[in-house]
Amino acid sequence: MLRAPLGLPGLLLLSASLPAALLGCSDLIAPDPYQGTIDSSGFDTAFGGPAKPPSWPNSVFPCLAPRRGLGGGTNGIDGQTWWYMGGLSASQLDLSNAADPSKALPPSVYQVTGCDGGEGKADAISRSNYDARVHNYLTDRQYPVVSYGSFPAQVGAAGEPTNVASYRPFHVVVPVALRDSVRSRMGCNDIKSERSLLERAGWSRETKTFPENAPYNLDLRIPSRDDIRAGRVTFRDWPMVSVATVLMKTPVANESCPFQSGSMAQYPKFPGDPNASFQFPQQHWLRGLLGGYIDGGDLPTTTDPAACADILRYPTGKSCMMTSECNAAANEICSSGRCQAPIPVCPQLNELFVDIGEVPLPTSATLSNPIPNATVSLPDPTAPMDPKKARTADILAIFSAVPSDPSYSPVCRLRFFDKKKVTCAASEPSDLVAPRPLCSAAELKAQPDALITKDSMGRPLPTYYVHCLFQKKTQ
Amino acid sequence: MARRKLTLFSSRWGRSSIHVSLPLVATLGSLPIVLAAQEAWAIGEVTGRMGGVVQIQTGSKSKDGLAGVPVTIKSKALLGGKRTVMTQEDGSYRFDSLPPGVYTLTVRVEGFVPIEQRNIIVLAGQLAAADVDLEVGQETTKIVEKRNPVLNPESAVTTTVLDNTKVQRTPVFRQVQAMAQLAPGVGPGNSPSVRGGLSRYTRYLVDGLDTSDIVTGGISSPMNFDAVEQFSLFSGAMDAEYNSLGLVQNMVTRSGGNKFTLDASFTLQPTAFNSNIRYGAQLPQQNGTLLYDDRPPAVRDFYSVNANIGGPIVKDRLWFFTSFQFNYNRAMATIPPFPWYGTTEDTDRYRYTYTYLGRAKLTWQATAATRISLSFNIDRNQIQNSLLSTTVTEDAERMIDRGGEWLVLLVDSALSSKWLFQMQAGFTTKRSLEDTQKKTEDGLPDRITASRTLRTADQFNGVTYGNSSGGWNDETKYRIQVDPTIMYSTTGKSGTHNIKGGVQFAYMRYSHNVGIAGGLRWTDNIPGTPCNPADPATHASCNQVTEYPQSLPQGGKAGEGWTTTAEAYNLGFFLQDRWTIKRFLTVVPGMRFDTGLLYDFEGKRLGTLFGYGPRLSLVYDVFHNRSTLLSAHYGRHNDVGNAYIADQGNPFQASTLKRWDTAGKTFNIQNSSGGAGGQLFAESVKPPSLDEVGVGIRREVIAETVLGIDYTYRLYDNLWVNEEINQIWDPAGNRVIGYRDGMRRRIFEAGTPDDAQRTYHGLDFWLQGNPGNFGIIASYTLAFSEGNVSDYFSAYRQNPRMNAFYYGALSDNYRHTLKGAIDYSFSFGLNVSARIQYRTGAPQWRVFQSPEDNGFSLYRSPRGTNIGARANDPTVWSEFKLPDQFTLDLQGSFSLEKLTGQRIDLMVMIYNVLGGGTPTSIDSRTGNTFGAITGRLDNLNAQVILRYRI
Repeated sequence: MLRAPLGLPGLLLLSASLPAALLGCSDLIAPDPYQGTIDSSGFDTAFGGPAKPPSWPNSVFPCLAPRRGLGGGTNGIDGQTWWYMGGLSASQLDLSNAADPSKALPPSVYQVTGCDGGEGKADAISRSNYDARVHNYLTDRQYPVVSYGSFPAQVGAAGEPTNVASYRPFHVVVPVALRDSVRSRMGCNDIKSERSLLERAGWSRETKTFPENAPYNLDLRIPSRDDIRAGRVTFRDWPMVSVATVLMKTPVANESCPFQSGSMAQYPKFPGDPNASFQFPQQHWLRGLLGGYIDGGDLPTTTDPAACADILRYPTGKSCMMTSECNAAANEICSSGRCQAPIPVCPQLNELFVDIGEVPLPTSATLSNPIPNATVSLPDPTAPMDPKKARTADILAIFSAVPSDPSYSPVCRLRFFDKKKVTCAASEPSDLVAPRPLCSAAELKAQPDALITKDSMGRPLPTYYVHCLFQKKTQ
Repeated sequence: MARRKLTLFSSRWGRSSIHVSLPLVATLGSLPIVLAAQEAWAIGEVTGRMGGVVQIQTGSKSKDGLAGVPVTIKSKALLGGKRTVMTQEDGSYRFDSLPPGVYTLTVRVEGFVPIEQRNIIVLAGQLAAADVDLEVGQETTKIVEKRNPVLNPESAVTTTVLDNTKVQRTPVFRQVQAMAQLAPGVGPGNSPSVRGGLSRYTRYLVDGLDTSDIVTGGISSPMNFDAVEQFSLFSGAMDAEYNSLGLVQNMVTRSGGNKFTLDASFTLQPTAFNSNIRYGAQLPQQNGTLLYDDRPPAVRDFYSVNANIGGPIVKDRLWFFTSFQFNYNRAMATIPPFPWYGTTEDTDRYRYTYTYLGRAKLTWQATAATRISLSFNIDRNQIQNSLLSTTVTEDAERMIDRGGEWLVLLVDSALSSKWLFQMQAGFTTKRSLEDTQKKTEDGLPDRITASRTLRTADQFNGVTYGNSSGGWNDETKYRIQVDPTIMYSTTGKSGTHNIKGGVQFAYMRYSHNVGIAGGLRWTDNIPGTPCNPADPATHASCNQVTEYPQSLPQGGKAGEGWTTTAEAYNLGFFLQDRWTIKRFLTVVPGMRFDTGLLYDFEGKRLGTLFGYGPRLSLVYDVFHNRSTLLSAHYGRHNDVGNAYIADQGNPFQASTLKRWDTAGKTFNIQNSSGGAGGQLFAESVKPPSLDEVGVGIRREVIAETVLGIDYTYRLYDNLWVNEEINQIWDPAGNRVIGYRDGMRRRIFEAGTPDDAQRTYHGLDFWLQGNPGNFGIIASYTLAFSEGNVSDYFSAYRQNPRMNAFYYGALSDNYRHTLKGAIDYSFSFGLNVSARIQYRTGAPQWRVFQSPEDNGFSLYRSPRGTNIGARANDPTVWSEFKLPDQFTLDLQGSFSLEKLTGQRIDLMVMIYNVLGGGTPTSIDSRTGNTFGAITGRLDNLNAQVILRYRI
């Protein structure tokens, strides 16, 4: 006989709660939640904006078509496939943000090594069982994690990495190695945000510090601002693009753009499928959102003040009347009443030569997209007025260096030449219609009269920079 | 008079026998019906119970029960007049299978003062507890006015019971499906979500027969509101005889009586009874009211007449009840001009709605132990210009013509003193035709001309012209149901067991013919010049067309459309024991097994669903005086399918989406769907299920008024989805970049994955009762409802890139709900009542346009949220809700009987007294119209009802 009024009901309630209480706590570290994909509508089209017409440079196909170019250097003239990522401003080449120290340093990318496959140790999606319908990403490798300002010492007043105004395509690589204490408790791609990465390393969100002798769970080698300014870190050229951007294998839409009518494109059965007609960009994490980037590889940099002075100068605190009052050793000059110093570290520059007859000089309105077209219509010299006899060809893009050349860089200085004034040794054997001089960059440099250095008004041409990278082959 | 030895049994402190010779007053042989105490409920519980103890004071604090005492009850609702039972050894008595109504109980024992308890209210499915305290003496009859607490000491079921008197005193629109709104835990609307469930889960029983629509789950056939004697709303903790994932609304209908009665009413709501408030488009409520709009108000008339007649065919043996109702509704909207279509000025368009309801019921006391009732219901509904929309031209309007019938047979038979048999059987039919309002020269719906939709300047809305884009839908639904139940009652050392078991069988058949007029649906996605499909020069404007091959006209005749049929069988077994261990402790264990067989249009079995449903309830009378009850419950319900689910296994109407290719100057196929092979059914499916845990406490705080607190947790699992399995999407889910089988087509598979879920936590505080001249039903609910499925076969799992966003606050997650209906009756015939409703805003979900099909199906944040100022920063995602809503409705009812000598009542209802125009829906599509208000609460309006009764 139950005496207490709540006896039997209490027993029932207790028995209902027991199973929940008996559930043990797992030793695993829960993975960061997957928040979806980055909204690319705010991306600059020059950096691979939304993958839909008409905002993409190619107004018809929402695919990023590779361009063909010619490389010089030790390999001679040969066709090269490169990605054109639009124009760059000088301030975007200021890797140290010296011109405005209140702004963020280049965003960091944490590259995590030593992961153990299988997200949360439970979901082992790998290349072999990857299902394009349902699996957004592989889990046998940790995607890089882009910073967004959680760590103030690193990035200062960080701008929004996907905002056109503050976006920089160049990232500082921060190596991160998992230690044994966490490797067995985490899977690859468990970490999807900078904050959780730092906290797994022991960083306190409240005090914004690491504990003494830490990080202890992850080996996190965060460079100092001085390291960055001195160029003692590795920079990568990783323009962030829409994760849905289709990177065509060939410029022929029917062959490699899935959105073209009658497309024969074969989709990748896993990221990096070599038999696919196109690829998606490589993937990274930003705040738990899946993003895409094109891996342009290492960004070679220099701290040579002369080289960096070509790109940009910034005012020091010192006022002056003439250059002699400034630090000559640092290559400072006096301008506008202030000593102007070159930025401490900047990208090495490649050179890209284009024919003035095929690529018009940029205007202030087209600076973000100086080379809008990948192809040009070439008339038949025997019947130049007959449009039916014209042919479409890739624009004549000649690089001074290509990957593997010592002076290669994915940041190019755009140079214009007049093909009517050049004489070159190389020629394309099958190029019988509208022959074009296929010069090497060295040959062009050796013919300064052919180079365009002034505009139609006789004013010196400003320096134009374009983002031109050869996609790094990975996976 | 015979003298009998009466054995006294102590109800509390063990047994004692006192032999007293007392005369027996009751003349048992003269009573027409004698029923021993036993347990009996009809399925759907159309009857109630009465029980208690006859006892005398034997000590300063003790009372002893009296065995062998005759207890007699009578009521106008009781066919046969009176009933008498004898008390048991412990002095207890019980009456079962009582029609709801008001009863008088009489006990006459020589040597004791006769007791007459009046106004004992018996409600369907409830026990009316009535203890009788005898006093020694020879005085005249002692009359006791019964207190009727709301507490049911035998059941943990969350129940709200509304009799006809209460609903007449509540300002609520006279529709049977509106009654559920008064119960706690029930959301708004006529097909409400209840405690986190889908709106299709609500079941409507009439005299125990399930009349729910076998496809939509809502009410299938409306019936006359005044033909209902009592509404019983079960919203949780249901016993094993019920298998429902949602609310069960059981309507006990009137049966007539020994006197002829007439109950007629006339409802008026002309246009003049509606306020003239207008709001500017896309403006919030507080600053959007138009001040200088002097246009006459839009026409909005509603008139209704209904009559209910009942009486005896053979007194005490055969009663009849019949009712008839007719509704007329006229509404008007001013349609703006469409110059590109040839209309240059505003035009007034009217929607007409006609509704006819009819009902007839016979109740026959066939033998002393057997009662049979047979009822028939019919309804018809016709609507012209059913859309009444400013975004369709007149020739794109639609019509509806529908109707149904159902027949219910209810048999209630006492086989012996311990055994009771009941059976409910019936069938329902429903036919519905929705079609274009446009007619051919022959007067038939035009199924040849294709529709076109022109996008407007905001790029998201469109104007449909040429013909209705909705096509036609001609459907027929049948349901046959047989539910035999057997009950056994026994009392022993372990207490009283009332065991009930039964079989519930249903057969459902659903057939429908659908099609699209002209077989084509043109969409002009570029605002500007409308397209002319016959003129290829305009095809760049008509840049999207969907083709339906079965609907394409052939030889000048309309296409046949697409016809499918589906069938389902449901078979359920249940067994439960209402075990009263002591008077103050009742345990109700139960179990049920359900199975469903689903068949497609070819008669092929699609699947077999099986579910088991354990139940356990406990009710504890804390202070042993039925004033405070503790309850706890666990139950599992399974949805083993119906004809709608079976129809999902049928191939659906084939269609091909084509888009204009500017370069190639041709329509290219984007994708196709439907047709043979376009719809699959998963090989192995689990039935959707509900696991419910609830605890509660309820206490009678003042006379006949109960305060209750209930906590409910619900998990809805394995809900139906229609997963698309052929398309391959890009990583962002924006575009389809491939197909698994290499063919540009969509393939769907219906199934019940484990991750398709909804959860609910809710805390209800409620107050119910009739203290004095007041009537109160009020509740406050704090609820949390999340999930990833908004309805069966919704868009979840049709784009795997979006799956992660589907889990979140559901659209019927009203965090706070406060509702109440209170009325007061004055002695001079006036009754005033007020009804308030407050609820926090419903969650919304920002949606983005998909370039794949120009539809809105992309999300960038979880359900119930909006993205923030930084599109790629989840930390700024925010809740996205409608504004909170508050409404106040008032009613005054005055009886003119004293003035006229006739039973005439005049009722005036005023809805939305405060005139609040709170938005009830907004445009959640990203774009120019994001946040625009698309719907508001109804303006202040009044209704007058004149009622006459004999």
